[in-house]
Amino acid sequence: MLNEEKLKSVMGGVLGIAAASIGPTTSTDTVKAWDSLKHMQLVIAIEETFGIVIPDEEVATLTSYPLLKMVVEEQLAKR
Amino acid sequence: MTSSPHLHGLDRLEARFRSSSPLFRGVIARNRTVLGPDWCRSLDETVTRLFPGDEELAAAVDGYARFALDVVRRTMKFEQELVYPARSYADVAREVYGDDEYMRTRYLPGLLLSHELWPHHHRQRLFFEEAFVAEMRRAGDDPFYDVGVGTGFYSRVALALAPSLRGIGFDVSPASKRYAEWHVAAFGAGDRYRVELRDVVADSPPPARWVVCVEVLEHLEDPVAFLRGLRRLLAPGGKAFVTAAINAPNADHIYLYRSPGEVRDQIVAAGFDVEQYLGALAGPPSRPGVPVAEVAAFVLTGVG
Repeated sequence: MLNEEKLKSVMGGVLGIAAASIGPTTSTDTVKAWDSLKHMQLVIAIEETFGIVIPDEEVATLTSYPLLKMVVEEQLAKR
Repeated sequence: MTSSPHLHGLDRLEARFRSSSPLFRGVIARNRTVLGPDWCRSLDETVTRLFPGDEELAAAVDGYARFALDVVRRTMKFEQELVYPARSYADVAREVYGDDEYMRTRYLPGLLLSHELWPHHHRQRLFFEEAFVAEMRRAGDDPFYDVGVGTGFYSRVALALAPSLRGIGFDVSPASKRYAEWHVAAFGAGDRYRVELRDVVADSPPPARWVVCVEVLEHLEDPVAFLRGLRRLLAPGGKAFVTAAINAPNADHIYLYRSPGEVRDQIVAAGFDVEQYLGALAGPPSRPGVPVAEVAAFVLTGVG
């Protein structure tokens, strides 16, 4: 089961935004600092925090909070 | 505020990044400012010639995004561990060069766009044009060899700048052969160029006056043995353009160069003299003290 608050905390820390502001509309369109470098820092931080591996072929597509949440849930379910 | 020209191909590429790979949405605008109008025109021509349809362009951008994110991930790991993962050439040949789908959809489009989009790669290309191709043009019609063609980018650059030049590329990957020949043909030089599937160290063609070898050394277990083979390819009085990637982890990088001096020492040990040199960093370090990816490019003559 995904702990959403933990995911938001990781995102907020990497992207430099308040975790409480993260929601369904949070994406690369709404967070200016979310570039390729921040993205990979975010992916690695999520992998380490949740003990999962995000598949390479999906990494480039995870450009919003809902998409990240979905893939984390999928990978947690596979454990 | 930029003064770069309005170019349809470049605009299409920028729009495609915004719509399908927003993580890289800023790369075109940044390069318009940093690299200027000549860079804009060059990339515009690449997009227009190679990716005239939206579907082709989308596939190239997707390949680049996955390639570049893979490089970022590997770079972060490298900054922690300061070594490349231990792998043999046979492993890489099987996992990368022998994987036709990976080569076609990710590696080759990614590598091609990295030549255009990464500022240190662009500076290396300018050095090639000014320090090597210009002399090839002045010298006449002797053909050049391009050893390890990859995408065919450097062959294409030479052939486009020198309309009477002919070239032969060599590579061990059938996917690279197809891609390089397609790439060169799209720039109207297909009748002056071909790629042979050949290991030039084990099976040498006759020596040539001009030899190009861009970012091959770091893909090998024993670059010195390869450089000695490259030296044998160079005809008396000829020149070679040889480059290597430094501190630059990638899916197929095996040999870790930590400085341009290490490349230079191997080049000299293999029987070359260095005539000109360019080093270009990918950017500032991500934090103090960590290594930065770099390209080192050399114009060489043969000793003796």
